[in-house]
Amino acid sequence: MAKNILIMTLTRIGDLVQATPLVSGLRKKYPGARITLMVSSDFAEFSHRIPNVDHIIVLNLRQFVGKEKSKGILWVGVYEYLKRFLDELRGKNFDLMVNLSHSKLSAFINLYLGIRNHIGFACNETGDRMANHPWMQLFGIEPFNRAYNPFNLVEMFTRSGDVDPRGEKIQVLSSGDDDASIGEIVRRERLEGERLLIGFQAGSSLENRRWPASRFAELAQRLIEEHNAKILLFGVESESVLAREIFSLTHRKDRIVDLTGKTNISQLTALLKKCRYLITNDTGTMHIASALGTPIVGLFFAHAHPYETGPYAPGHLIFQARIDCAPCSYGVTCNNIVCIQKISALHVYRMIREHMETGDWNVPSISGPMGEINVYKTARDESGRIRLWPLVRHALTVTDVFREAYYSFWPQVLGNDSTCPGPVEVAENLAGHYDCTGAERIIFKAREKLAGLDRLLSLSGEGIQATEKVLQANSNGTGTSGKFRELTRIIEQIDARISLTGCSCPEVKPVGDMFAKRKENFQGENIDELCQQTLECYGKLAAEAGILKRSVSEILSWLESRVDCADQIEQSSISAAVPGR
Amino acid sequence: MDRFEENLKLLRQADPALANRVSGVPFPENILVVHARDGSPVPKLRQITLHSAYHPVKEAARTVSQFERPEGYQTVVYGLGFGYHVLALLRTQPGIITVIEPLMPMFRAFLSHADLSLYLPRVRFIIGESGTKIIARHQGLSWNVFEHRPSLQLAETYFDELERGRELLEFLGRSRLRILVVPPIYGGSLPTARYCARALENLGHHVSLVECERFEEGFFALRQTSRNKAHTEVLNNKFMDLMGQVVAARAAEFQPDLVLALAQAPLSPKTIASLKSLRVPVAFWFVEDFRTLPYWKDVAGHYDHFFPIQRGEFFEKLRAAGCPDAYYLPQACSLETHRPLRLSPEELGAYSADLSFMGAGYYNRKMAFPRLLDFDFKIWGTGWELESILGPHIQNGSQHVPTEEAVKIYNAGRINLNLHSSNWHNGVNPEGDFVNPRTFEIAACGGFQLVDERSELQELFVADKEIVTFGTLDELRDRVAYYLEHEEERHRISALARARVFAEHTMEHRMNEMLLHIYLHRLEELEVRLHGRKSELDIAIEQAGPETELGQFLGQFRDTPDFSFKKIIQHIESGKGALSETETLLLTLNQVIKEGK
Repeated sequence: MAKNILIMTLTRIGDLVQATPLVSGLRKKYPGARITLMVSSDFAEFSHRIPNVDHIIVLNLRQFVGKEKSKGILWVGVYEYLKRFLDELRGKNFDLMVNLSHSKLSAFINLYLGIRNHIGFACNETGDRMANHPWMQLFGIEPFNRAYNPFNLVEMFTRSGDVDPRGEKIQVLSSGDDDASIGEIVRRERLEGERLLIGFQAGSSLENRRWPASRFAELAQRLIEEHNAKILLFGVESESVLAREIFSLTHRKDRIVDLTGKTNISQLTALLKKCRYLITNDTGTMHIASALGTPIVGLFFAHAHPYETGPYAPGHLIFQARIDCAPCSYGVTCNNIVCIQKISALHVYRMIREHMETGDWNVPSISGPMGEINVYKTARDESGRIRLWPLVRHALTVTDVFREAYYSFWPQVLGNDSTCPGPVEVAENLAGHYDCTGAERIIFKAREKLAGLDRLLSLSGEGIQATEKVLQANSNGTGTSGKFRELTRIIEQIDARISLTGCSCPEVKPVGDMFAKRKENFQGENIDELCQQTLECYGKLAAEAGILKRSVSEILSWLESRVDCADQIEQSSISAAVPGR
Repeated sequence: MDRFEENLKLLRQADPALANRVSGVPFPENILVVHARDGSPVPKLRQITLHSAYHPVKEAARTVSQFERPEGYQTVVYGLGFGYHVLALLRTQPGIITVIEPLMPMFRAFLSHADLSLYLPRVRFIIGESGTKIIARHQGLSWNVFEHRPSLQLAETYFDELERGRELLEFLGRSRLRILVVPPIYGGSLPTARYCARALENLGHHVSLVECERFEEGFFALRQTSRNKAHTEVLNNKFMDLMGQVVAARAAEFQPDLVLALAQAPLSPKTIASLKSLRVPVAFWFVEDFRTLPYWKDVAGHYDHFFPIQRGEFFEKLRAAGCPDAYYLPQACSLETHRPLRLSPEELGAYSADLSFMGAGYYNRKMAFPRLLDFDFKIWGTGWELESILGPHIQNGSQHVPTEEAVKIYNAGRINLNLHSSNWHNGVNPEGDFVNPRTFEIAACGGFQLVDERSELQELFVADKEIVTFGTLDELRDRVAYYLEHEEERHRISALARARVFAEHTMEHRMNEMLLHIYLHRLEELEVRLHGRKSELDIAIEQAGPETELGQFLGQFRDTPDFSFKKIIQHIESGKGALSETETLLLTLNQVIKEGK
């Protein structure tokens, strides 16, 4: 029973907001516990808006920015600060740590603090990475399998605390001072009495993720002309350039208020609550607004992936380019950014107009070509979890099949959660949201992918056999160092082939990656213990490959039985799914 | 009674070089010798009586009675006078006593009045030599000094500088200077530059050696671009300008405390001036014959310090050329390179000979060597004509011999012939002055050599004891024949030569002497400079606190060249076992830096 919990999130405001269901769940689970939140100084002010937190600790590395020319060696100063900071933390005797930052920095902090029970990214005493808790392991493999990930970070964070995400909401605390804090702005900009305030968040942490300012301007123009909307431009000081560009491109400048760099958290919170909509790139502001109940029109470009970081609340709308390279991988630099061009201001305007008229997100009949656009709305599914439901019925793909299969699969195998939709329900959702006309080909291709699972099953069997040999040799004393080396080599080769299976069949890669992730946690040098852990890993791999295969088979069978078989099945090897998609 | 001749005879056996120096010195007119009450002769110079006018022997006994000799230190006496205090020390102190006396006339007078047999062999006399040289060659840090006060009064500046030199030696020993070494682009002196760099590193300094030899190909390619001499010269000058820029760029980045150029380093006067703008000493070790390579005239006046391997008339010429400071610094060897080897049978077969020569085919050698062809004689090196009478003796087709192979040759030859080069003599140059590096290298390898007489040699090795010389080709033949028959004597002489090299003639000795000379009057300036620029490691340890865990952890990097935070991380990441708390924090810090937080 944890009494003193430390939650570490050092990265983004969005992560803080997305962690609120976990924090809320931990509060319920450990009602007597003291919950401390560790954040970086950039988000210190906002962190006080996170509910269910008793104490906030700020890691202030920003104090060293620009201090290169000061006396002494900067890194020595930073080292001393880190030591003091972490030693002080140690002194607080936390008994549970939850690390929501997937970074080496957080892993080393985790190691230094030495808190016995810890969840999340970590490293062992020799500095090798590991991740505690199956959902944190999934979080660790997700960046390499993004196309097949159906889980929002909220769900992954929440489940990593063994908290049920159903019914949990993201939250941001309001303060009694919030409204008062915008008094001057309201007066100056004559916001009182405005019937349609719409917020724009045109900036984002990464430039590639931004919808063009010209399109924001065009949208603003339409909203102003058609609905007399007043547009509030949010953002930080450095995004004022964008605000000025939007301003300059819009005719009705009296209907635009540039608030970039001019609001603190209180003011932002209060103003977001006043907005009817927030049109935003994937940003922290989006999550805050979502938590406050302001309907979001989210624009996800470049690396941004709505499944991971979409607003975790019902009633929001997401736009994303539907092109082969979206979302792009972390670390790539695109020199031909086409995704941001796919979403026109008209697309967005029409959806907003439809929403204003009907109160729901629907694709209006006169929407124009949407072949290269994904449009999702957020809604709770039957189990109470937030899903992204496509509003444009694109043709079903193999990727869609496996992604939805994983939605059912992972909670089942990682936490024995039977509340997730079963294969039939998954299939129904697919049929309901995707155009299954001519899906026979997809079904056929998807079935081919099951061979990948067969390979994993077979390899896990080989792995078990090899490991048992090691165990036997060790227990009856017949193991020479040469024999152990040979058996180790065999096991390594099996593991390499497991990894290769994922490479050649990306749809099953998450299962192989999870296997590898579990192995990273192996500790110690006792051969028997290591063998037992290895056997367990191979066992899970076999079980999971089997479960996934059955699940996907059922989904496909259902789809097959329901879809129109107008097209002949094309038994050709020409059509190959794009790896990773 | 004048004991001079008698003493000179003794001195010739003990220290022929000193004997030679004093032999031509007349009795000084300005030293008055008076007799004390007890009859002992006492010198008087410039109104200063060097010993008691009553009982100099008793006085000496009294002054040395309080003198202690700590373990591990050698007794060094400042000032000779007429040596009563030295005799007193000999009675109370074991071992060798070194006497430093700046005034040769005083020593001359001493030899007339003292009984040298009472002093030898336990007293080593160092007379009229520069303090820098003495300190560098005689382990200046391990002296236990006895001061003869009257002698100090006579040569106050000299002894002050001696003490400054010792202070400087101690300071240099615990300091890490940044030294930029600029070698030639190619040629025989290139190895010397490398040895210098290594020696300076061995002395604990941080050295950057400009890799000029990487531009050798370009240098020669340019020369072949045109047959027009004027054009080639223009191209050559442009190339030298470029090389100067290369050196200047390196210096700007490295921020040295000293720039040391050698031989034909590609530094024009313009480049030297730009190096001087760094406000550090710029020195040049001219390791060549000033008569053969006259380029020194163009550059000597531009360097702060010029170190030739010759003295005499060259110093006058340097002064005339505007050289602000010249200091004689002979060549040396590198003990890491030049050492005894155990050769395999194949190597012995290839390199062994009764008589070996390793070097270029200069005129005098080509003229002299036919006199030796009746010996088992092997010749290595470049510039030899294979079709000549020497042809059958020339090894490896007269190809260039790499240093490692030269070391094997020195080791394998029963007698190494060391005839200094000359472009116009038929054999030995009777006016030969400087000593080539080969002399030291062969000695360091434990090889036996016969070397032609050189005026600078006598100070460096004791003739017929540590080294055997020849003045003519006839003498050479006789010596070859004799020493081939006297193997034990060869070994004995080689061993003594090697011991002498170890004691005084390594590249470390030379570099120390050079640094002492350069910084003798710049100690305060150097202290301020180094104090203001501590190494990053020192600053880090000081900042962290030497007794803290971090400070103690950082201590292990004291010998790490180019210490940086990155090196710490590399060290940790290459380690094994559990991370310590300090290591974990440093890895955490590394992530902070990487994430740019």
